[in-house]
Amino acid sequence: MHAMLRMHGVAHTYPSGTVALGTVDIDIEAGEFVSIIGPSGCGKSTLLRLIAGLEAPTSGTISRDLTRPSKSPIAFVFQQPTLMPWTSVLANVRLPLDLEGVATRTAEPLARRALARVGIEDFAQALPRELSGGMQMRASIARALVTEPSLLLMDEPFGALDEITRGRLDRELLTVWAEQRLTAVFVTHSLHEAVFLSNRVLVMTPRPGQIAGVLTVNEPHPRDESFRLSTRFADLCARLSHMLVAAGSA
Amino acid sequence: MERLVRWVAPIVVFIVALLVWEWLVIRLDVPVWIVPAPSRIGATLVRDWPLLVSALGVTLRIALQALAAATILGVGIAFVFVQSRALEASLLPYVILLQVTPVVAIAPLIIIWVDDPEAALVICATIVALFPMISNTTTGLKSVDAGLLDLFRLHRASRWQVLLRLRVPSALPYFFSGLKVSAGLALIGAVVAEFVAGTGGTASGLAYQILQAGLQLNFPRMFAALLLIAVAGVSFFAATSGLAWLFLRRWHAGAGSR
Repeated sequence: MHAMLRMHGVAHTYPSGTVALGTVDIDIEAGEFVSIIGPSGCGKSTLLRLIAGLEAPTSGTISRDLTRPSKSPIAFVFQQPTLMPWTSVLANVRLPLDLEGVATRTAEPLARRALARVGIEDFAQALPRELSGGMQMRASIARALVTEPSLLLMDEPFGALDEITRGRLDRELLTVWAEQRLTAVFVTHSLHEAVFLSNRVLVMTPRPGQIAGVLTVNEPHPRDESFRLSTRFADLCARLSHMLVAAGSA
Repeated sequence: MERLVRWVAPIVVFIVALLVWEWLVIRLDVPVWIVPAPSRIGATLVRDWPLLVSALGVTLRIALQALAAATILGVGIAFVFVQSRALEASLLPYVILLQVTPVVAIAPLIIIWVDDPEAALVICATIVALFPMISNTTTGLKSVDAGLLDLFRLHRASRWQVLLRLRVPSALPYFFSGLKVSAGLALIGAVVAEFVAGTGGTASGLAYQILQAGLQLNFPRMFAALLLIAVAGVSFFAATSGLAWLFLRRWHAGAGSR
């Protein structure tokens, strides 16, 4: 195992002086599934944007060792599906490849494969608004997978979905993560979701966010609903809940 | 059913209004030099048709040229504005200046400066129609979903890709609502400029016909010319609305409504 991402003494302050993120040190190993949990405004989203390179840290260093040589080694799934409303689901999923200059001839089958992986290949020609919220999110995930990234960053992707859809997407996400040997960083509000998905859960303090503790989930993959119903799962959720309270986050 | 009402109801209102008007004129014995009866206006419209239609042609030609010029210039200026904040900041006050200066006040100057009378009128009408194009298209090009912009940045999209694949499609609904306003303004601009120009203009548009008919106390012809201007305005609006619907109906919620 090698560290795919090392963040050392990273902090972020907005030009207005608002501290978005306190000082954090995080190492993430290749193939890990790491969740970040904490109260609103603690800087979880900022942390993710820093990892993606969408923001530069005001102090500290971030080094990425992205194994697969690709033009887009990092993929991002936002809180909203964030699809272009004027074009088809297929064209939306193809977008990252289009931006990289991949010929449509090559890109189209890849986009179709990504759609099939999330189970919405029949909606390739539909417009985003013709899809339900859950299906729009699947399209958004397909778009993230289409470039075969090494690192998948997700910012509360299923927060707006109903419990049943969320549970199903959680399971499907784990399948994709295992198949593609992705490294995933997943921001969430839900401690059940964090425990179900992750190898490690990082607990953050309220603003300015710092890492208050780490919960390791030693449950082998693949995981299914029996894990969610087990006493181990309940124990882990209880421990995570205590950690959140201790961090002043709950 | 609802669509039928939307088409039929205004027509019924129109017919009823005409009948009431006709009846009032006859009943109150209103002289023709105050308000001519609709039947009289209709007869004049038929009798003066060749004259009025060629006048309408001139006014439409000026308005359409002005609309085309305003669209090209407006979109061009909007593109420049979104490329650089400094450029926008330095030019915006002058664009606003152009918008707030009444065209009646600058038309005489333009008519003196520009030799070709039709070109002078087109310039005046363009000035009137330009601002909504600039303002709406600029707003549209800036109204980009922040998440999508992040996505484009994450995949290292060039400025050109962001413009063509993100900003331009996002701007389309705004562009079309600007176009609807500008189309009406181009026609108003053409008529107003022609009024100001008087015999100094092309001496053949609808505004000129109204002026002449007024001087000759030919009120039925004045009303007939007025009617043609109104019909032209409504047609401009319908045409631009139809264009917007064609482009936006599939994905934009506002496209179906007016």
